[in-house]
Amino acid sequence: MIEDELLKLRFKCGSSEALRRIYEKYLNSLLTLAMALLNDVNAAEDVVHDVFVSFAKSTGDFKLRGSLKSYLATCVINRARDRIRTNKRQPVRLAESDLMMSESNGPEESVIFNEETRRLNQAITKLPDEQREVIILRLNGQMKFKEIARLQGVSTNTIQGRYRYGLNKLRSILNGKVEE
Amino acid sequence: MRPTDNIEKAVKKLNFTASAKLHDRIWCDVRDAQKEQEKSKSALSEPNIRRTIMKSPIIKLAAAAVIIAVVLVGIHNFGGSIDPASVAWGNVISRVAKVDYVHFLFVADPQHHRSVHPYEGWYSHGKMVKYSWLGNTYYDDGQIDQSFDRNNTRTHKGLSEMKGRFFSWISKGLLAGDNEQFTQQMPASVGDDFLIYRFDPPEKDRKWIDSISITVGRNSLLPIQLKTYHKYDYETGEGIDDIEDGYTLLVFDYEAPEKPPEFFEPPTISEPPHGTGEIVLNGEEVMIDVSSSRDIKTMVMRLYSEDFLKKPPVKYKLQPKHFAEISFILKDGVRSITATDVALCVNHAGKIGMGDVNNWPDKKYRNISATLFIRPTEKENIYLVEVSCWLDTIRGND
Repeated sequence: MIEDELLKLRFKCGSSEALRRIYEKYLNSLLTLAMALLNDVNAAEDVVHDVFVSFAKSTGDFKLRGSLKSYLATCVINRARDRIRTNKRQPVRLAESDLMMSESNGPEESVIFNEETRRLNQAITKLPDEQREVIILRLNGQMKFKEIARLQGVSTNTIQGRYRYGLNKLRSILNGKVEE
Repeated sequence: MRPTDNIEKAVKKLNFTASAKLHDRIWCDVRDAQKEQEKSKSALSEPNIRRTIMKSPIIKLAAAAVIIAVVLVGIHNFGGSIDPASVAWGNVISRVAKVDYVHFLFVADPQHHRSVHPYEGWYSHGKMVKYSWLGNTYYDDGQIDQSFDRNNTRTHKGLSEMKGRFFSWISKGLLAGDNEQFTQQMPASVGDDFLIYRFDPPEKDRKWIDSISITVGRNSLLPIQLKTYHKYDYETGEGIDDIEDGYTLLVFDYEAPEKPPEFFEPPTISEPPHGTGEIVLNGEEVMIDVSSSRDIKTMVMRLYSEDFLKKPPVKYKLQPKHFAEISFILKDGVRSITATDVALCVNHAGKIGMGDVNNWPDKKYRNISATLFIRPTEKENIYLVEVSCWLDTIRGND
């Protein structure tokens, strides 16, 4: 929290080191978020690329009172929404050219983990947009229900409902295979 | 466990990592975008405000009205005649005495921000809570202070150092209500919105503090920032090793939303330790399975008595005291170096940290923080060890 406040300050003063730290810190989480929303490596890369480039251009004029993480996540969501709206793109198969799954310790484990992650990601993309956003932002982006409610322009109760319904639906899609 | 919990856990773990190629590709564009922005900003010339104003009679009148209003507001705020350069430090002390709530942040200068652990804290009506980036939480209710690690295990309990006098305590006495030594001191600098007071450190802190400057709001007369310049005597080795010559900053925020009273109450929940095992005093080393910890597989430990090590007798506050040799084996097989002479008191939580780059065979940065308990058993010289441990791989990110 304090680190982000300092990074915001230094970034505003034009520090490229601060920009680099922000980039390193949030690149993977934003990619994960974009992948969960779009399930398309190229589209996710484009969205994250555009978010960081326009963020870099805001040096000097940058004003942000809230959380940096939530701000960047919101930028990704808005761009992903635009992309879905414009291209009417249906979720497509995950290409692995440039993305690697994390937490893999060896080749065998990596394959197992890849499969699990791919299956889960595909299941998430089958959820309605609003439910998908809530689940990803809540669990992966660690955003509060209140923040997500503000982003989607609905009440916190609605968001909690979407979260609950989304999890139930996700469970049905996965047909209990994720559950132990 | 509810099935939903497993899905929640799985989604939480969902994580894509950019390959080095992708990472570099995006970074090049991002860096260029910032550079271009900097260039285009510096290329733009500053507009001549005076010329713009003087061109139009209406804007001229409006500008004159604004200047008069600003002057009147300034005069009003300082009682019509008070010169800000003559606001004595005593006025700040009396304003501070009325503050019941403040949010504060502690950081070090960029050169030392990795070695000095920052913290964030809240003070409210005589009670204080501090969060450190190492995951510890400190509670001080004005009578007792207590520390808890991130597992909610208490690692310290003692008499309050703050004793309900938060500002006095955090400013090393400079903001104490009865501090006559400094009350007549005038600001060293006066800005548009702030006053800066500079102090020599109190006698007891002179070995490691060079000077202290406090920035105060010109209207509120409340401290906004306390900057401490540290020093390190390389001949005598006196000072703070980690910071040597540098500064730390305490930033005060009086507008943060107030935390509820329960926020200042210490925790009561305690999760089970990551590993337990029996160990014989002055016996063989034992391996304790800590695989319920996220990244660490085993703790290797040996326990010695003071006599066994033939250490000179020292009077400790907590008795009896033993010493341990400790190392950790990570889940990826990497083993840390062995920490020796780790002092542990029976029935009292001990906290150890083992980190940086030199303590690992591959010279990668890692930091292990662990809480250890040793408890006596019915058998003589056999102790029960309880350990919780965590691994961090990013500096200052815990």
